Amino acid sequence: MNTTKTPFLDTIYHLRTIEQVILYDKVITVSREEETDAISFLETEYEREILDYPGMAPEFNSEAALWASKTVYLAAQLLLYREHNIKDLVVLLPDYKGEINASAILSADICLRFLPQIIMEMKRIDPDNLVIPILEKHLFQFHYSAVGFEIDIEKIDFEILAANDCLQQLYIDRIVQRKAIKFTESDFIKKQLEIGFGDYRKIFWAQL
Amino acid sequence: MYFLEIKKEHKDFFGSIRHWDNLKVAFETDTIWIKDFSLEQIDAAEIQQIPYKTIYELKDNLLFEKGKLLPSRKLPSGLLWTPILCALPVSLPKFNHNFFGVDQKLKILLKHSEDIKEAIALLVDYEELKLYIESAPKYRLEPLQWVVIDKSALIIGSPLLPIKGTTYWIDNNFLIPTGYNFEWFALVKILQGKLNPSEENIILWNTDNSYSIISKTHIKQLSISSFRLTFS
Repeated sequence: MNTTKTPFLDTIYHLRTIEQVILYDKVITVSREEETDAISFLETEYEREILDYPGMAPEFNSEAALWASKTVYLAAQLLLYREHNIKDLVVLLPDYKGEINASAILSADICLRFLPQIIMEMKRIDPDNLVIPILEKHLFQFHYSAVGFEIDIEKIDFEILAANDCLQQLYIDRIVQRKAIKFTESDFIKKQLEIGFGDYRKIFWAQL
Repeated sequence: MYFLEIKKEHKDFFGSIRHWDNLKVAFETDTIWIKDFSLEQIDAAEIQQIPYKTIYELKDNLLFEKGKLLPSRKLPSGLLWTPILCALPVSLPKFNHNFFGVDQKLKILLKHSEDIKEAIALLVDYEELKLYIESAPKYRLEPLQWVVIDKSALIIGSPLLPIKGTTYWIDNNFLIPTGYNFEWFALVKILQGKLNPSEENIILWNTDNSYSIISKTHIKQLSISSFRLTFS
């Protein structure tokens, strides 16, 4: 295995560039320096992505982005090296402390969009893994990252979408792109889809 | 049941109704009889245009002139009915070996056309597009491609965006304004071979018969970022 001085940063970099999780070692601590570097890397990535976001994209939220990248990193670590007990897990995977708004959701999504696949892999290995409910709880709050994956739709609060046009449009786009039929049960989502499709519903999404 | 009678020397006037293949024709010594008109056909403009004709209606074996109350004659017996396509054969003019007009040229013109074609391209002003695209859903942009022409954008694909603009339909890499077609549209393949032999370009026609050549390599996927990066 390659050796690196910045395992966290390298993992996040690979995740973003080649969409693969590469873990270098069993390292669960992240140095302050790496955090700063990761934030500036994630901010560049965010700036690149908002070019394609509709309307005015919200500001980059470094706190949320860092929290999400660490969550994904640790989730991957825990998938591979499982020796912590439940008390450690809560410390390792803390809740997001700041306010959850459009800026936080979109900044976190830069990394958090890969979390549902890690959870799926965990479930495949051991459905009773205690990490799973903790990660799922995070996804209920940041449900934009979970669109199209198995998630209890009733625990989702769609009201946060109405507050920001950019996030709302991105959310609808992701539902259409991933053909997340389950998410269309919500009346709010259904209405937004109808507005967007107009006469062409059959062309864009025949099964709906 | 209607019958049409006409003298043999006026046979050429049937050219306009020869394609109604339900009609039957019979020949007498110097007259021609036609029958089996449908109700629509007997009132059609094509029939009314035929001169020197008499139209009869058959009731109780008597022929009443159309619109008259008294019978004027009986239907002659022993008529031999044949379908109109066999009865009036068409002969094509012989090839003219003495034709020397090969250096004549055709001017390619666009004409109004009644044919309904699906619009496949939209030419919109930059400002109009900006209003829509900045908040457009991604799935509406994904099936589309675009290319910039001066201050306008040509969007190609289907379904098109709900913006005001000029629409075009496509035929052999020619984008032709909707509602128009070439005057000599049968020559479109030959024209394509002349203007765009390697088919690497798309040719945008204007209603004033001018055209612009657009290289296919300049046409890009439409997206919000593509738009923002182009006009910034």
